[in-house]
Amino acid sequence: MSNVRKVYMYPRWLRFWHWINAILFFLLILSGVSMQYSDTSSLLMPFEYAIVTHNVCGILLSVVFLYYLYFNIKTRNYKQYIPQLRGAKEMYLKQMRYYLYGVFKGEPHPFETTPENKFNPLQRLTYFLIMFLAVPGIIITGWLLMFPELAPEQIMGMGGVWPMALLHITIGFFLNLFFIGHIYLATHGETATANFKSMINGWHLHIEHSAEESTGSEISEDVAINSSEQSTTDKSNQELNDVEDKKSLNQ
Amino acid sequence: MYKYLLLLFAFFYIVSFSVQNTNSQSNGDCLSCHSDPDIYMEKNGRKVRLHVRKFELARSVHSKMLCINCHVGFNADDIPHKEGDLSVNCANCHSNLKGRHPWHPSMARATGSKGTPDINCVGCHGSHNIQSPSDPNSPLHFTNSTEFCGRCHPDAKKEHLQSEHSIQYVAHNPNAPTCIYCHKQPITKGNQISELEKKLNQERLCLSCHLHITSISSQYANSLINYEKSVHGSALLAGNTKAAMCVDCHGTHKLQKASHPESRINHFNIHNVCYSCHSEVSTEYIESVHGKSLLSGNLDAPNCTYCHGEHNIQHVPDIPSTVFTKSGMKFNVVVNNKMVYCVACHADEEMMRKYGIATVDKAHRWLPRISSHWDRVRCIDCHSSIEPPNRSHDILPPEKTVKRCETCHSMNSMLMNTLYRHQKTLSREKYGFINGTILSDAYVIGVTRNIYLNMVSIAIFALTLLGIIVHASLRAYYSFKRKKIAEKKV
Repeated sequence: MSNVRKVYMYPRWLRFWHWINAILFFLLILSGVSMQYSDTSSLLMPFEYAIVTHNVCGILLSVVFLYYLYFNIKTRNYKQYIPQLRGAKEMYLKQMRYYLYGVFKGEPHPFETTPENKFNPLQRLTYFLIMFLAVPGIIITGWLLMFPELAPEQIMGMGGVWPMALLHITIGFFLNLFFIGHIYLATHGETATANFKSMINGWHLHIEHSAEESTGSEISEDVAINSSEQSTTDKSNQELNDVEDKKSLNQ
Repeated sequence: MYKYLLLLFAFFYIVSFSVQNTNSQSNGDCLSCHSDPDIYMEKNGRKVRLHVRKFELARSVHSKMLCINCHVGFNADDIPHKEGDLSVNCANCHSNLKGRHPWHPSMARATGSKGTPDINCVGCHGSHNIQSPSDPNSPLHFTNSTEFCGRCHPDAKKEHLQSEHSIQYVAHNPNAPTCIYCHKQPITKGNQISELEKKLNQERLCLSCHLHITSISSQYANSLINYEKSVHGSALLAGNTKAAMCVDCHGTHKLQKASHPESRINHFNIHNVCYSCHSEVSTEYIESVHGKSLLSGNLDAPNCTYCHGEHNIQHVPDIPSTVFTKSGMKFNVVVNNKMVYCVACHADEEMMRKYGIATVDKAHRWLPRISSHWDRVRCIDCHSSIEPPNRSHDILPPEKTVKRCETCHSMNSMLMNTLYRHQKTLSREKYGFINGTILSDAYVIGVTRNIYLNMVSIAIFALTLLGIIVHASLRAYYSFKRKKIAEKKV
């Protein structure tokens, strides 16, 4: 049988950033797609609104990114993002195998999620590329499109604005794919909604599997019990959250 | 009583003494010699005439004064009366000479007959024949000042005589100014004022007649009201001494009507005036189709002021509304984009027929989605050179204008660059930094126009979605299967 316990994984600042970032991402994708594939008829959003939405959300995203950077440095959370190089190939294959095979068999996650090691190796690599390459890239190119006079006059004989736009749209496209992939992969928690819940309340559900093969139905029952308990002890959770947040900030 | 008698006696004594004293050298005494036309003296090897015309003196403002009031400090019996300095000092009686002659610093320093004769008191006011400046016969009366100042300033006089001010004066226009009218105000360097103060004074002086006196307000009064709001006027008021004001364009003394062929502001000359500050733009203009047409003597060719206005830039030409209904242009867009000046002539069928040019409506019928183009693209975007420095003034001949869609609608478009930058800066200027940046509706076209890029991106996106759906379905299927097996076990 399995034993369910909770680990405080996501401090308040991170959850706040995550959801604000998510909303901005969503709006930026919505308005970005409306502009990119614009035609005489409005797509997801009328063209004029799309531009304003994109500009405003882009600026807010930059601010939120700075907030994210600040707390990452302060709490040393950035260490979570540094890709592991030793045995990388095996680890990536192991993780890939899980997604393409193990998950169907109901195998446990190959890498356990702990507060010291929140991400699996593939997550580390992806999040590193996204948060420290793609997002800064799209922010910088976005600002250059907002202040085109700062963009290079020419790049290899071409006008400097267009390459910026191309880079912006390309990164945007991959971020769009990431957005969808991220949401889908988030359903790979102990239950389909477990990871979403933990990103809201900060507590990660941890199921220690016994030697005996456990089944999905058992897990969901356990979680159901657990979540009902959770609602009754919301207040104590809140207090615990505060304590954990303080701890993480004082690190 | 005795006291009063004594006082009365003292008074009469003093009066009789002073009368006796002055009478010691009456004007008659002086004129007994100086009325002789042949009286001369030698001074520094020169013959100096000492004759005084009796009637001149009698007509002058000083007719009631005595010779010795001005010619002080000499001995009547000793001829030539006085050793050394014989000059008269007007400043003995006339105070504040500097304040009265602010326009002429060297004149203000003069004290009488001393110094250069041209710029001392006598030089202008005369000596014995001195008359009130308000006397119409006085050389100093403002009606005669041109002649008088011209003695020393022949160039200024020559220019002034060609000016509209002089022409109006000759035609007995009572409002026409002469030298003294304007130069009474501190409007020159000689006034020892700052350049800015000088320019502001000049502006105020011109406007004091041309704007504020309704009887002589010209057809330009309406635009003059807005001069201070124009780029030039506002720059001047903000303290920019390089900003053009009245005389910078119209000239100083040779102020001619625009209809005069030699006038600085004549239709064919005005670009030279603008050139003095805006040399690059003017050079570009003169090489444009319009500039060349202007140089060939075409009165219809637009010059600088046609588009930019004379004193203000608010001027919107009158265009028949049918032009807008026919072509699909929007009036507000056309005004805001300054296309209104182009359209004013290029929609005029009669004028265009004269030069064999198609009207704006006919010339653009080939353009797809014409109304979108009218809304976003300005005339100069296609009709002026996009090569740097790209000052939008070299309007190209028809064979060189942008006709290919790719020039704008392609990935690598310098034009797109320039336009996008322009649009962004314009919107920032218009709505302020923050609003202009956020609310600007400029967007880089070109990326969106690559159909293959769009197709590839949609394909990758679709494949990703498909992958997720397949993965999710498989997960659900196996989960269901496992559940079944578990149930069986139980």
